[in-house]
Amino acid sequence: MKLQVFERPHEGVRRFSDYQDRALRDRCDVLVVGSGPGGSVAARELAEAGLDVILLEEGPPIGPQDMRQEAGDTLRRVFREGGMRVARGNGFFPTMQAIALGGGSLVNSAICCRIPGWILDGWAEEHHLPELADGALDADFEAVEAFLGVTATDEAIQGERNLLFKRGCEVLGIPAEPTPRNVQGCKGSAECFTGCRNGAKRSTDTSYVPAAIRAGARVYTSLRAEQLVTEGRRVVGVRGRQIEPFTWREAGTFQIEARRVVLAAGCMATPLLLQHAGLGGAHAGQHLKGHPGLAVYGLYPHKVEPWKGATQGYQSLAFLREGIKLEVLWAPPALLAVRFPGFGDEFKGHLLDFERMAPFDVIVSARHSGGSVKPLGRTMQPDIRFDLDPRDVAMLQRGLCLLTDISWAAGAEAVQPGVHGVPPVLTRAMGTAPLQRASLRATDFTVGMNHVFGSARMGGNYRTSVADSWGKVHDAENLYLCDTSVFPASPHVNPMLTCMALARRTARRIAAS
Amino acid sequence: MIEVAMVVGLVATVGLVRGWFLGYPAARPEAPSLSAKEQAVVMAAADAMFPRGGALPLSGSEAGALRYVHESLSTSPTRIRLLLRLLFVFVEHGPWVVNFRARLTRQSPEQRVATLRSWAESPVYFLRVVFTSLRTIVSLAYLSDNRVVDGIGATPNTAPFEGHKKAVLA
Repeated sequence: MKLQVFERPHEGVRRFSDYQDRALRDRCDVLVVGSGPGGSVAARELAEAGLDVILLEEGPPIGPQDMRQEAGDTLRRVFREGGMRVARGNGFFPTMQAIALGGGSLVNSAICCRIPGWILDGWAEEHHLPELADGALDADFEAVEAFLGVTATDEAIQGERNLLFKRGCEVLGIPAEPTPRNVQGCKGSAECFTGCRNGAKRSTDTSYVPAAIRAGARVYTSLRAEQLVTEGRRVVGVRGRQIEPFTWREAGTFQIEARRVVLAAGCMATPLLLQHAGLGGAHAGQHLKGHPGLAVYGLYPHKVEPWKGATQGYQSLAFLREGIKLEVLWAPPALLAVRFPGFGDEFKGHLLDFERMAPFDVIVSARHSGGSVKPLGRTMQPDIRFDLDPRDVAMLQRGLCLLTDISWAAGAEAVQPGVHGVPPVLTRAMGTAPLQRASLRATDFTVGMNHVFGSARMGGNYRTSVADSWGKVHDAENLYLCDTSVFPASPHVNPMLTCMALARRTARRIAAS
Repeated sequence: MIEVAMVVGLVATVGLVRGWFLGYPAARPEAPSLSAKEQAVVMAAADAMFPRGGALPLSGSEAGALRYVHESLSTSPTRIRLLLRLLFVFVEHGPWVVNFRARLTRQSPEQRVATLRSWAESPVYFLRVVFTSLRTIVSLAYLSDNRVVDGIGATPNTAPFEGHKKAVLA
């Protein structure tokens, strides 16, 4: 199938400057709130089914001309709360969510992993969702993968950082593979986090959103949904404010009436909208889950030039049944450097060693950990709580040990584990033992939690869930959920593709109803 | 007895006022969202972590730490702004309570490093979080300077595998 490529993907997108501070009103058949992986897929499917669709996004469209390579600039311009959002609990857990047309797909590493069938079957059994079992999502996965052009990362643009991971896994006999990604013409610039200036990443703002516009959808950006307008058990519209890009100043208001509403505002904002409206029952905002992640930095005797090559080009799913996924990592040096030990010359020395460094990361399914999302007052600011269970800390520790072993096998002369209570630099002579022996707690590392889900989970039992297997909210007649908040548990892999497959399935159900 | 208590109280008040409010250089114009005190704290922390000289000769303040923090504060939501300001207050006055030392900006460069190092390696989680937060801001600021990025060889390149001639440098 030939990929649909859009020369001017943001053409037709309505922007903040179009509103001129006037109160904005509109109406449609289906209003989709959020243009990330879930919302954009739903908008395209619904528009192509002939429905009058409006797609709403709080952030602005960001094209290559708007992208900045400097990490701080990107954090301020593209991430909520300037990238300083934190979940609190038995530790502080940084969690980043994007605010831009395309949502997280604009800044993630384009990883498209299918959720394994045995995990979906587990969801089906544990959460009374038989409709999801036995390959029920296969057709949706195939359709999304074909539209995005998902392919395994090409060897030619892997770069030494990714190839070191490959070599280390080969030496240890650990199965590993090139990461499947939604890119076309990737040049290995390692700039996924700050946005792809080459336009190679098929983020939803350059794929599904323009396809939705071509099918007749109207796309409004810089509008923050704050309130669902309800009449009994029906949602009849959404109200909110216009938000100036990058300054995040609140401007005029808007109201959009709709016969049906799809919430795809993300795992943090969707439960807030439900809670403000008194919908979703007691479980809205509960059961927040995520993939805690940590990294080790291997230092090699030769030049690695880690800033060259696909951002996360190699991965290992060998330990997935234990809840562990291993990956190669890259992010702007400023973010990775935060963890370097020492001051002054010592710290600067680590900066100069960057060119010989290869970071590898682990994410764990964290099945024993969880938290909640609640609004701070009447605002759309989330109060995020999360507790990392000791059993999941042990899983992270095992993952770090595996990554350290892979680094040694790849030829590293030193490894920085980034763990309090463990020597800041492990040498080959020390090996992995200090990390294995350590008795670790959640507070012994800075755990990032960037895949979040489950805050409005689906389930067959309306007493223990928010939505059914089609994403329809149990206690509302015409309200659907299309983002990772509906996941009842961890997908064990990066959640984007699963979110998109579920969104396609839900949208087709809405269109058929 | 009352006179003694009054004198002690007066001395303590003067000391507190002096320690909390006085002795800061005038605020610089490039960071209007920061008070004179906050500017002094940012400069002290940035130069403690990134002193001038060495293989990367720029200091933290020379690399534009003030401008960076000003821009971050200006575009942050109210809650984050408040947390950042509280962070600066703690970094400045925390040494009174935690280390029994003068406020950070009155310490010598060596003492500042010792103070911050003690927080980085502290068994108290809160102090490590404070240090990590400060380190994050200062590191982001330091590496926002192109001279530093070029110095470590990480100059952005949209086509790293197409040879230097075709490379598009930012």
